[in-house]
Amino acid sequence: MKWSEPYESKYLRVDPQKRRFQISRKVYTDPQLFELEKKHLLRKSWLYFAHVSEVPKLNDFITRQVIDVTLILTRDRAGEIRAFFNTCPHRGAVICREPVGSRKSFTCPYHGWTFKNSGELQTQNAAFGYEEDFNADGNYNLHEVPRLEIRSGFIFVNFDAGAMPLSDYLGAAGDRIDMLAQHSGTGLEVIGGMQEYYIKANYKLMCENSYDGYHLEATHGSYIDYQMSRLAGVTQMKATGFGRGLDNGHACFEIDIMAGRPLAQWLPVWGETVRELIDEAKAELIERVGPERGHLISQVHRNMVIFPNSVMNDQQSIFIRSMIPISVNEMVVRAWPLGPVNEAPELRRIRIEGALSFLGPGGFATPDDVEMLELCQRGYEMGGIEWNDVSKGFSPGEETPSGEDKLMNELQMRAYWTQYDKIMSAIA
Amino acid sequence: MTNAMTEPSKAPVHRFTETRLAVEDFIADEAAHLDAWDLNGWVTLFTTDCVYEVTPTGVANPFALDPDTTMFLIADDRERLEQRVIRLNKTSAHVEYPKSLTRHLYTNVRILSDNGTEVVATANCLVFRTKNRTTSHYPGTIRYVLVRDGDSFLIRSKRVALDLEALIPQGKVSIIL
Ligand code: FES
Ligand SMILES: [Fe+2]
Repeated sequence: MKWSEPYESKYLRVDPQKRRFQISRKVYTDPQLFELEKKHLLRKSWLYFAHVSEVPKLNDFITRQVIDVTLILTRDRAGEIRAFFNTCPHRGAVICREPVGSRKSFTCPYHGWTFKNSGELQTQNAAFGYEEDFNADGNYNLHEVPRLEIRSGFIFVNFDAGAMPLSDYLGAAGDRIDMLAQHSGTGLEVIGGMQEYYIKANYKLMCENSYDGYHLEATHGSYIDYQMSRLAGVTQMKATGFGRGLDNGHACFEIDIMAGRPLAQWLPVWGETVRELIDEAKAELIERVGPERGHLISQVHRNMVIFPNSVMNDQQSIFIRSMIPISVNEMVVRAWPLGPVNEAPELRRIRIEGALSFLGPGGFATPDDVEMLELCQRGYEMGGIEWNDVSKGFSPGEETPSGEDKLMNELQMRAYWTQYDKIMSAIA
Repeated sequence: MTNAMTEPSKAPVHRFTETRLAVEDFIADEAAHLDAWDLNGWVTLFTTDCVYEVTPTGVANPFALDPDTTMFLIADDRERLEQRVIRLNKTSAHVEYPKSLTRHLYTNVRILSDNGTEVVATANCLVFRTKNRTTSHYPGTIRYVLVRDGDSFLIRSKRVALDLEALIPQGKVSIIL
C-alpha cells in the first residue's frame, strides 16, 4: 500500500500531504468492534501458540488458551504435533485440567469418554444404547484446531481452515523467525518460568509498545540509568537502527547496539570466563551460518510483532510474547524466554538475568510499559478525543507494509494499522 | 504448594519460641519500612551477600527452584537490590508514581532451624497494593534465612513464593513483597 492520496475509514484517517496518520480510538474501546475483530481478524490470523520444546517427548501435552479457546497441544503416540479444543464432544466438559503433563489418552471427568492423544474416541464408558457405528464419521473424536503449522520450531494455529499457508502469511518475518532458531546449533528450548500477567488495556496496545522505539527514553529512563551503570567499559553505546515493515502487518525494529547478550556481545561486568564462552558461541555460529548471516543473528537486536498478537524479541535473550485478549479493555500477556539446548550454565545465567531484569512483571522496564498502556486505555475511555496519532516519520508515498524508517519513528505501527484497516474495512 | 518448607511440623517446635518472637519483631519492623516506602532503611536490613527472590507463578515447587536455570519474577543479588531501590525512589519509576499504598501482613511465623548464628524461618504473607483506585492482593509464603546481628538479625535470603497461578489480576510485582 502506497500512501499518496488522502484516505479515511472507520479506523484510519490518513493525509499524506499533511504527513498525518491517525488511528480511531474506537479500536481500543468499542466492545462491538472487538467482537467483529475476534471473528474476522483474530480467528482468521496465524497466532503463535507454543514452541516444540514444550512437548519434547512422545505423549507430552500442554493446555493453553488462545483468544477465548483452550487447546490441548499433544505430541501424539506417533510423534505428530496436534492441537484439540479442550471440550468434550459429548456434552462439553473441559477434558484436560492440567497445564502440562504426559498422557497417551484423555478421559473426560464427566461421563468418562476416553480419547487417544491423537484425538480418536477410544471408549464411551458404558457404551450400550448407541448405534454401533455411532462415531463412524469421527464426529465424536476430539475436535482438532483447523490449522496448525510449525516454522523453525515455533507452533502457530489458525481457526480458519481456508487460511493461507503460514509461510505466505509470515512473509519477510519468516526469515527472521528462522534466525531466532539459528541462534543455536543444538535447537532452542523454552526456559522454565513462563510469565503470565494481566493488563487492563486493549491487547493491541501491548503489540504497539513491543516495537516502539520512540518510548524508550521517556518511559524507561530509570532502566536506562541502571543499564548505564552496567555498561562501564563498553565503547559502542549509540543505538543506530531502523523500523521495518515486513508484509501482512508484521514489522520490527532492528538496532545495532552493544547491550550485552549471551551470543557475541560480552560485557566487562561478566568477567573473563564468560568472555571465552561468548567468543566460542560466536565462532560456532559463524562456522555454521557464515559471517554475514552470523552478524545479522548475533549483532542485531530485533523487536518484532507478528500481526496481530505475537511478539518475537531478540534482545538480551530470545523472548516470545503472546497477547491474549480477554475483553475490549483487558488482556493477559504470556511470555517465554528461550535459549539454546545444552547452553553453558554461565551463559544461561546471564541470559535469564538479562531477560528478567528488563522484561517481565518484576523487571525494571515492563511494569512501566504496563502502566503506560493502562494510562492510554484510561485516556481513551474518558472520551473527548477521537483519533490517535502515529505520524512520526510519515511522508507522502510511504509504502507502509514493507517500508523502512528510522528507529524512533512510527512506521511499525503504520504497518500494523494498515493491515488492520485492510481486514476490518473489508467486512460487509 | 507442596514442599518441605511449608509442610506441617511432625514435632512441636516450642523450643524455638524465643527465636520466633524475635523473628516476628524483626519482620514486623521490616514490613513497617516497606509500608512507609522507606526503602533505603529496608535495604540496611540485608547482608552484603544477600538475595531477594520472587519465584515464578504457577510452579509446584517454588522452594526447590534455582534462579540460574529458571526465570524468576525477581532474583536480586545485593547489587540489583540496591538498583531496585534506587529505581523505585525515582519518579521515573512510572509504575510506582505516585507511590501505591501498601500493607504487608507477615504472619504464622515458624522457625525451621536455629543454629545460634543462622535462623531459617517461614512466614505467610498477604500484601495489599492500592493504586489507581484498585486494590491487588499478593498472598504467599516467605522463606527467610536470617543471621544474628547483635540482638537483631540481618536478612541473608528472602524468597517469596506467591500462591498465584499467574499475575491475574495483579499484573506486576512492582512493590517489594
Ligand atoms: S461431557 Fe465428557 S463424557 Fe460427557
Ligand atoms: Fe517499553
